[in-house]
Amino acid sequence: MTPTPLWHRYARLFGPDPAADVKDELRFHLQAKIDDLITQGWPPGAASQEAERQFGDLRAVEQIGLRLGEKMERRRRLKDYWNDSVQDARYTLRALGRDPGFATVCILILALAIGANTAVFSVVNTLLLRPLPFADSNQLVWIAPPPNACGLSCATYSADAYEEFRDQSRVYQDVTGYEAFATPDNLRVTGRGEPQPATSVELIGNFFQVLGVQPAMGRLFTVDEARGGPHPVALLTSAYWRREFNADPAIVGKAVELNGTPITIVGVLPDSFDFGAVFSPGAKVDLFTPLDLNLEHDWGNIVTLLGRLKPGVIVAQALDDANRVAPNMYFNVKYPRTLGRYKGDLIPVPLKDYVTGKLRRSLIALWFAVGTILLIAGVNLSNLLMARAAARAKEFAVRGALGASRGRIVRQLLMESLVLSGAGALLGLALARILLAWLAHQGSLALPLLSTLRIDGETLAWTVIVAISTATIFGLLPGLKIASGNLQEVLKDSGPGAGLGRSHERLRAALVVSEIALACVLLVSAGLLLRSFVKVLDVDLGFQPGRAASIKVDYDDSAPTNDASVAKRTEIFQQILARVGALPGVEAAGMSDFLPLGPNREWDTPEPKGKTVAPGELPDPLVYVITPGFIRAMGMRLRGRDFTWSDGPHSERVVLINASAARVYWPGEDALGRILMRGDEEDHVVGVVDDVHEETVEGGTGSQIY
Amino acid sequence: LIFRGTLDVLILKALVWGPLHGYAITSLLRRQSDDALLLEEGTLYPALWRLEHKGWLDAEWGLSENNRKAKFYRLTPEGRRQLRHEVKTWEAYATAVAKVLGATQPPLPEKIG
Repeated sequence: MTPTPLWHRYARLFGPDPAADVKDELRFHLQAKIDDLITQGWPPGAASQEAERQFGDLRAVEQIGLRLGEKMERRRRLKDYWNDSVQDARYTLRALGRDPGFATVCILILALAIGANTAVFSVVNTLLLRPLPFADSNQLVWIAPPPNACGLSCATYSADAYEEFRDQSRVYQDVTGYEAFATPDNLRVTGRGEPQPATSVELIGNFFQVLGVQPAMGRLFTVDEARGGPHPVALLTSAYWRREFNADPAIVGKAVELNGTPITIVGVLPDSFDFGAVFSPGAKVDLFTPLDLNLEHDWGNIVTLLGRLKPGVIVAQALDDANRVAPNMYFNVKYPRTLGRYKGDLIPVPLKDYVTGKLRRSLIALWFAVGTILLIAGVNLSNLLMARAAARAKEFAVRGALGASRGRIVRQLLMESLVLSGAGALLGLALARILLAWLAHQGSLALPLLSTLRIDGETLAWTVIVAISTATIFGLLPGLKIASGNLQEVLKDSGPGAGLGRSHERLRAALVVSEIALACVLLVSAGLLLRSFVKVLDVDLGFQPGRAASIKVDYDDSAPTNDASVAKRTEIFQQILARVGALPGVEAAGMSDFLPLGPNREWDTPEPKGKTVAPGELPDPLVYVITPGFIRAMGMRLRGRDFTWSDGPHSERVVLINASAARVYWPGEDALGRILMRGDEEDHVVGVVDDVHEETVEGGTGSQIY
Repeated sequence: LIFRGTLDVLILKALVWGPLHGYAITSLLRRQSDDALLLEEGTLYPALWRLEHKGWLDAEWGLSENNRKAKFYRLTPEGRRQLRHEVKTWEAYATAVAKVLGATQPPLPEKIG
């Protein structure tokens, strides 16, 4: 610190008064002048006049002096404040350095609390506050039926429905969608050495135009290509382009072989576009191909609907419009019976709400939780500062006695808590960074937009606000308390740890009580959370995932006739299973075209033989196609018998059904040995398996047929 | 008659030998210039305050020779540096002006091309 000049201290003593200073200075000048003139022989009256004449415009000079003086005073005060603060900071660092244990504990507590708050705020900011990473993203709406039990099959629409909706709706600039049933690694990239699995999603041609995504290289799909033009084309995601093609700058126009078909790459999408992050959390998509709607007309509900509203249209208007259109829509135009099937099932919601809606409540709860943690940390800090201040009561008393004002002492304490929380915030920021970096690469968490997590300006500002308010609120409390203590009492009291009076005790008691209360709240909520988590783990999946492993296999069953193809396929499957089953440690092996807990699907509606039911009363079951051994390999529980290799197209037709299906088809009766009718075909039920969760662990179990 | 910029450098110079109050500065300037520099005394003070504001001068209250309370000005290190700089500038300027004014014949025409 620069040494305080002497006049400064002098001015302090009388209180600074620039106006008086200016007057004094000028009066001295005139006085000295008059004295000189009198020594030179002027008469006193004339001397005073002459002095003023030689001085010039006294009033004007005074004015200038006043202005400058005030300016300097302001600066001086600021400088004093700054100097004091620097002094406080130095003193604080010294004091904390003497007590590293205290400082470490405080900083660690604050770092944890602030770090948690920063990290959670960053998540909240990304998911709830920040708009989606698309142009005018508030115009984008997701169109889906109200949430219901049957999952994705009911959240999607048929190709016909899409076209009708697009043509009849009036509120959209355009409507698009994608094929929602893409599974990971659904393609093989061949012709480049070993076949590589890749994930592709089929999009309605105008998908990127609707979202407002421009390709980083090349172009989007043309109208022709979108209609299944002569040349199959694909767009690559940026990540896939880097990984598989080493960011080849000349990739556009090159061809790759997908499942043996050459496909031309027409463009690469920008880095910022992450399909999985928005539409299917946790999924990684490598490339996009146009969805040929003409081929999809008979496929049932397969596309999602996504629209861009015209400017100025609000969601409520879009809902009205959808309700107007819905009764005129066919599920499949070939079947007039399907008219109006989507009535009430077309509900546009802002895309943002669709993406983050389910998380809103849990995120806000999380936000509150970390807020509580911060409160606890703050109260803790307050308590620690109090304890320390109590130990330093004498020091403060002495300082007070030496002339330190109450404000000065409070400022000193405030500076201490500021330094602590500042250090805590820095450390917390580092913690949050690590946490976020870890979170962002946690694909299995399946949170949308996760990869865009980062510490940005807003998060930083939030951290600063949190740190400063923590320091202020929780530092001010003990500061005020200490400063209001009676100096004399403390000074007289020589014993260490002398009582600080009852009010002091009361404050500390209040702090401790509130801390315990907050901790209890947190503990109870954490306990509840853990309980539901344990419950999820305890859910009977119907199979034993712990000891099961799955592999995807490609095979080539091309043969001239269907029968030959089936025979070839059977041959291949039997070979594979025989080899896998022969591996040491493998107890059972089986195959299925479909694993539990994947997206759902349904084919047709079988009916129990000998019963007449009204259409629509029976569920559309989920169908698994499996080989012998699958049931055992999955660890599923079966009553009756498994399939054998002799069950085939030429033998009696057999099926396994799950317990739910058995309850629906033959309530209160034994389903074993009964017959299910699929059209004219009879399927004999040879076994009943316990229910297996089909889509999500939490979801219910629909009817299943094997 | 004194120009404003010149007054600043004169004040700085006057304080080279030690702290002075405002009145002493006027008398010192008058004596050293043999009364040639006539200064309207009032103009000195705004200049002093400006220099103080700039940090070239420090001021403190003290007692004058005849025991009156007076404000004494002192050069700060920065003020000293500023003085050296201004003196140099002034000398260069004065030499240039002197050269032009002291010329006895017209300059040779510059060669063209």
